[in-house]
Amino acid sequence: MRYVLPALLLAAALAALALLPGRAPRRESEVFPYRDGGVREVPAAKISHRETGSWRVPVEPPAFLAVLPDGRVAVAGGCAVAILDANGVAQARITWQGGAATAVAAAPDGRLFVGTGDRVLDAGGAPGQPVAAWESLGEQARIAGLAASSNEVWVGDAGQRLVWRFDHGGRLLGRLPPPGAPREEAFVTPSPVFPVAALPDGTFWVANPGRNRLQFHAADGRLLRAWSRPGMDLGSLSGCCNPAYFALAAGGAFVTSEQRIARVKIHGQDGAFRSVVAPPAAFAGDEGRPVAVDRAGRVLVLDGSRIRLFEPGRKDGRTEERKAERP
Amino acid sequence: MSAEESVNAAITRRGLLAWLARGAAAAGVAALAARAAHRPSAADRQVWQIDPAKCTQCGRCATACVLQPSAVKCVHAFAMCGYCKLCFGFFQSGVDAARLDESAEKQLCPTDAIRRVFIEPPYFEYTIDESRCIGCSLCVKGCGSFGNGSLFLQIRHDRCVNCNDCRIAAQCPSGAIARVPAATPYILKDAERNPVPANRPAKWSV
Repeated sequence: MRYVLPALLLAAALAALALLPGRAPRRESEVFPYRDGGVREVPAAKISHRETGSWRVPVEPPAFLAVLPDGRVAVAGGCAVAILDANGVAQARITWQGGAATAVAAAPDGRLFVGTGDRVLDAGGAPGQPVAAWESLGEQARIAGLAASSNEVWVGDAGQRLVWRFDHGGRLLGRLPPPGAPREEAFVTPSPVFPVAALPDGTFWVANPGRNRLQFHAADGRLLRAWSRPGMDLGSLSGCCNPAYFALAAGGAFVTSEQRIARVKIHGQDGAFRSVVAPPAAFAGDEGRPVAVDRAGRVLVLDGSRIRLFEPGRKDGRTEERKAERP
Repeated sequence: MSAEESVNAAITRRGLLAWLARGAAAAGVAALAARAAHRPSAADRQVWQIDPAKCTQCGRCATACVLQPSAVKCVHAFAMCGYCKLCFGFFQSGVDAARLDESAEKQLCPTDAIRRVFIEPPYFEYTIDESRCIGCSLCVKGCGSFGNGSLFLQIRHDRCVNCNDCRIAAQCPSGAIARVPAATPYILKDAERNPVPANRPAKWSV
């Protein structure tokens, strides 16, 4: 009997020890916290668009998209280009065997060109197979951007940090920067993004992603003007290689798509920040998404296996009014 | 003299000692050979290493290692680096891009372990001073969040004591630390992760 009390006390002590919380591992925030400065947060007042729908993309894996002059949408991925009508319904398909698509562009006459890593395909415009495959740009080539004007095709080659100029028949007309050009004119493409957008008259805009810059060139390659916005704030182009993609919008504005801080924004023709189309919270993952603007002014974002549609208008129903910029 | 007496006379003290010495030497050689045969080769031995693909930059590598500073260091895959002027592994997030200097309050590394050297416009090269690096992974987090992810953590085997039960591995929340063959002691970010890979020509038919 005299052992009962000590035994009970010992059992109670052991139970208390067992119930004590163990040494919890330190939480990340307690060790070396990384503060991103809230760069992924966007005030609601800065968001000018709302998502109004999405289309499933009938190519795998989707890589790039372009809007045709008649309003249809071409989306390239794998060894195929699908052409969708303005409601997202698949109308035609162009397929080939070889390298996977990395870029697609539509000329003003509706002719499609497809970048496939190291060479361009003249995809024509009719369903079926491409008309021709042009010569390879070299083993180091990595076509990451493509644009077509009335007479030229501009190829953004991130691997060799060059913009190639071809005619519609695939004849090489030149390159930018030209051989022997000062190193200051070189494009900086640390990652495989190098978007280009052409105007019908042959002038074109090209991103210089490593410098967070957009450059406007004449058809002969002369630099006409440029704007640059390096920085981490909402109005700037962040990271080492942005914009990852861009599209020309009405009034000379730009719809930019960034990577790492995944967001889609609108900048004026001088680069001034206007508004946010889709904030980082709208995306899963931090990769950049190809963008395009259709004839109705909708912003099309190729996000995974879907094209997401964003139209002007806030969630509260108001639409931002803005004076037209001087052309 | 009988035959038995002649045999006993042949076993002298000197002969016996020589026989014992030869026996001991032979036994020693045999023991060494046996030990060498059972010693694990470099291919068999294993060491601890971090898989960069699994690492979540939690910061525990800096605090859990039995060594202080930790045997975990930041390493740099130069082939992946953008040589950015505004490097997010070097600068604090939110720094004013128009006023980039190397003042301490703008740097991300708590121990000033990253060296920044101007190459040519707009390129800067970043190298790690391992004597200062404590493996906190702040630069890895910044580079991976906003850049190409060329900075990553590795256990440096010139200082790791290869504990039987690695303290960091026990606390790693993502299971990123495991034993690897000592012959290939590092898990580097390879050319396939290079952001601008060379494309191999494909066979075409259109």
